[in-house]
Amino acid sequence: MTKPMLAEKANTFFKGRADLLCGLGVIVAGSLLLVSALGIDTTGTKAGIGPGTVPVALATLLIAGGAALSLTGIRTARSSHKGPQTVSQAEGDVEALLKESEPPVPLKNLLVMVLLFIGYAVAFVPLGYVLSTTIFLGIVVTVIDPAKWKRNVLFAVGFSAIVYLGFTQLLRVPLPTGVLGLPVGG
Amino acid sequence: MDAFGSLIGGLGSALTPTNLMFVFLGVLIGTIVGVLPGLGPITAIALLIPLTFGLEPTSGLILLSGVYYGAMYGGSITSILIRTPGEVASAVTALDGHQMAKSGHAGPALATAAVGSFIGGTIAVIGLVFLSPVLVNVATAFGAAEYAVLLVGALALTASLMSGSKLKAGISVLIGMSIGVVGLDPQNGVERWTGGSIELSDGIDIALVAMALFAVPEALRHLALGDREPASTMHVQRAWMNKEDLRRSAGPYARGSLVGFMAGVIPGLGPTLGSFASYSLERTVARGERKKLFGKGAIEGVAGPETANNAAVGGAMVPMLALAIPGSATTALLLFVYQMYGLQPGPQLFVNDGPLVWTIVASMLIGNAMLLALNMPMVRIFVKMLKVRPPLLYGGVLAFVMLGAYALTFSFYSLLLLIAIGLLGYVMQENGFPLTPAILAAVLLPMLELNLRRALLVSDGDWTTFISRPLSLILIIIIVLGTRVPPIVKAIRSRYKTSKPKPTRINA
Repeated sequence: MTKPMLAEKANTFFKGRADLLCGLGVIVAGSLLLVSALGIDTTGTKAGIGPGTVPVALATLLIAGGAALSLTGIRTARSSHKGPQTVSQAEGDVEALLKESEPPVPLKNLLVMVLLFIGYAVAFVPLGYVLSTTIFLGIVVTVIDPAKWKRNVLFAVGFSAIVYLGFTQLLRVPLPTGVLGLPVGG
Repeated sequence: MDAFGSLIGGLGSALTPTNLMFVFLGVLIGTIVGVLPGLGPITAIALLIPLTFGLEPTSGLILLSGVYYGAMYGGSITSILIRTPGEVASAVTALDGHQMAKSGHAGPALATAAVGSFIGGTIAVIGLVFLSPVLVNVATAFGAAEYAVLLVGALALTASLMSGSKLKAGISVLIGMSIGVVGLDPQNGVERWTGGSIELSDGIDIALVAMALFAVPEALRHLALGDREPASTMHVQRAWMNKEDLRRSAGPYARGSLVGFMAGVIPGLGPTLGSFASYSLERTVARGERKKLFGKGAIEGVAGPETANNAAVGGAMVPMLALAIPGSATTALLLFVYQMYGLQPGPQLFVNDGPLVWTIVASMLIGNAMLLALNMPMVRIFVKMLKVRPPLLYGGVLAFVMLGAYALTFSFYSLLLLIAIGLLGYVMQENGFPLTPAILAAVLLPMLELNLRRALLVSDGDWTTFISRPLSLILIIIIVLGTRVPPIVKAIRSRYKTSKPKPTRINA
């Protein structure tokens, strides 16, 4: 089986079981939160509810909600999909419109963008605002549109320089100077 | 008249050159950001909060209020011209507005929306002026129990009235509330869900949550899709409407103002329901040939919802200012901004900071007029914003939210939180979990818990206090009716619809 076929198969697997997987995710998150909530110190609580009551209730409800969603997911995966039963025409039309304007996202591209975003966060303070932003924007726009590299460089440098000057000099919001050691406002 | 006198006083201070400049900047920036595809009012405000850090409270709040309704109108330009609404409230406008534009009536569609926004916005501000003091008076009769019930009601209404899966909307509320819990317990100072980290003990900033939930998923999605060219748009010279357009829009303007304002005032409903309800109402009252035009370019289908969603903006400010209970996700973020400036909305706000409140309210009145004056002749300049290349736009959005998150606390921790909540928002959005209830729940949780605790402390731990207090009981009954009756009516109607040989259209 070729790689794209595998990816497509994986995509259909996840799409068909999205509710089940989300439900399971919510159950896991709810359980972790419940364990943490049960450990909250409630000594000194007077009448009514203490610091642990709301967290415990929320975590329990999350588990219940996750379980209900998983069950719905199993049911819809088994039965033939009939599509949403929307009574209201306006609601149905808007849902169709929103769906139409949202084509499926290629997972590989998404992963690249997420990793670049994480890298940007990690470099933000040590490299400084101007350098990290220029590099991040330069790479992001070049990955998408490599042919227009000159415009991309100009945009990346221009954006970070203007925003840096605007925030540090006009609005007096200090930003990390990093390795360049630029002047800071504030 | 007291409220009227206060408004006149507010107008006096709103008309100073500095404040006028901030109103202008607010509506201008709001419209520009709102026009950008995929960015709605809440994203616009979240993105612009860092700009207001160095400003005086009055200037900052005037600016952000302007951004709110500027972005609402900007969203309708996008809906009409490229059929990509920035948020669900203006999605309804796309149904008929885009059809009008396709048949060569983009100018009248944009003008109808601009005039509707102005009328809806202005009537709502007048409503706000007179209703807020009334609500403030009512609120003095509220105890902690009533507040707790109202807050639960706002969340229940938000979840139950979302289109799509109610279960997912409910889970979204729970996720938002869980985010709101993180930090030190306000009464006992005990750590809750902080994982032992000091950075989380102050809680998670709502502005950060808003940026992460509304800007990050949208930007990541568009960048991953890799579109290089913007959506094709039509050429628009100016927004203008003739007498016939105005005649057809007059009724929808009046009905839209009323429906929108009411939807805005009821906590948890907001502009989305306002515009849906108005569209349905217009389709119901339309007769003969006009009715058949709906979905194919009926001007009434643009005039009504556009008026309604702007009227709802003013309406949603009423419970936010008078009770500290936001009527929509965007007002929830505004509530946070008030708190950021050290102002606590609620009955006391009108007593302690009356001049400031009335200046902001008056600035909304001026802002609406400015928006109209700006948009009718200058629409073609805003349309140019639609031509921004997607990689530059969404790359810029990510760079801007990173700066915004950093500027909130000046710590690396905020950046990590931004990414974590942003990815959570992405997964939620892709799987049909509405994000609006989450942000509303995150803002309301601390207030809800505080009032719940107070009520139970007063009643000595007796939970029946919520039904034994008459006012609280009445509120519970209203909320149960509000959340349970619409689905029952829908079910009955759908049965009626299937049993009839000729199906009639059923409205939202």
